[in-house]
Amino acid sequence: MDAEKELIARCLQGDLLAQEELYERYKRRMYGICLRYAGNALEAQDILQEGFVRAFQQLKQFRFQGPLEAWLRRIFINTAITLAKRENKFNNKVELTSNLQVGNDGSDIFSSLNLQEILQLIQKLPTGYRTVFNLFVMEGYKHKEIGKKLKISENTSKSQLSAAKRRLRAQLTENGNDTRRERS
Amino acid sequence: MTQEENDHKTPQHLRELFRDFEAEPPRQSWNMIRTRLAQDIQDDKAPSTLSHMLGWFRPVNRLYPALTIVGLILIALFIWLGINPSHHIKGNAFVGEDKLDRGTAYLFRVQDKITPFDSVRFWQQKELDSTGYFAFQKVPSGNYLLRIHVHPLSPYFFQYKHGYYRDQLHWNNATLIHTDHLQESYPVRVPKISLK
Repeated sequence: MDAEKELIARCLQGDLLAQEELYERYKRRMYGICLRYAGNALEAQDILQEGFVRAFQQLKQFRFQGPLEAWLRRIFINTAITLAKRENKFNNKVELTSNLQVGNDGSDIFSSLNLQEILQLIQKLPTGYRTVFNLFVMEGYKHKEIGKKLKISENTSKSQLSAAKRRLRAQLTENGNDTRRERS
Repeated sequence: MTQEENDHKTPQHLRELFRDFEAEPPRQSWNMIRTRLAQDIQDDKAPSTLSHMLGWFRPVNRLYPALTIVGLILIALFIWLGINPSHHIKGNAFVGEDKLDRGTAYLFRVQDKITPFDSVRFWQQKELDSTGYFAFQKVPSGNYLLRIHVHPLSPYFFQYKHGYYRDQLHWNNATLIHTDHLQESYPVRVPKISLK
């Protein structure tokens, strides 16, 4: 912890080597987050770049009240949301459906897939769906919090999540059919 | 269990799966970040002329509104002084060949340019010093009448009571002082009262 404090202090003095060290320490974790929020690798790189620039610019506001990684995560999530907002991708409203279960029978459709496959499916979602899905499923935010963050209504957040899950299920079915077709 | 709680519970393993998810970013990413950071430092150090000039009007602290008000008042004051330049009227009061030892100088503002004056307003009064000297500071532009009173305790009081510039007993014979053409000094000889 003391070593990290010292590293942050050096970064604040504009020490490029310290900044690179901090980048090296967290780049893999943060890029993982970027990949979840981005539609493709290029978008993820944009978020990564913007996120680290913001993190270094705002580092003086870090109060050491929690782990640096958690603080960086928030910066990267907010950066991803800001970049998506620039393209105004949260206004596509979807009708609210009562069935918010992942599968029709309530079972988890992802249980048979590995991480890379799930990531690819998430990246194929439209930005609005993907962001709500990430915030709700991966980060554990509530719909009310997501609504505030994305400046949408709570119901829109719910409907976007529902639509995201339906889209994922449809993609899965399509992929399953493709695989069966390939096998036959 | 509410729908939202149920939704959170269902993809629990997804969250765990991605909790420690890491990926290697491309090598050039750090170079791009470094370039951006260096640009930011340069921008901070060398702002453009326009942004530098805009910075003069940026609220830098809480004093800014107060400073603005003070600045506006000063500007208004300079404009007012420019429109209304002030003048000084000074001189000595005499009784015969002697300087009046005790008395008062009065200044009246006159709106009319020709006699008889019917818009005479008192402006200021000054006590004479022992040499009969008087001085009116910061007098606004205009036309003035200057009057000298002999103090009742002065030894000259019973012979000289008052007089106007220039050496007149009555105001309608007095000479107007124009601030546009001010003299260095305005000597006033108080006329002697004739007992005839």
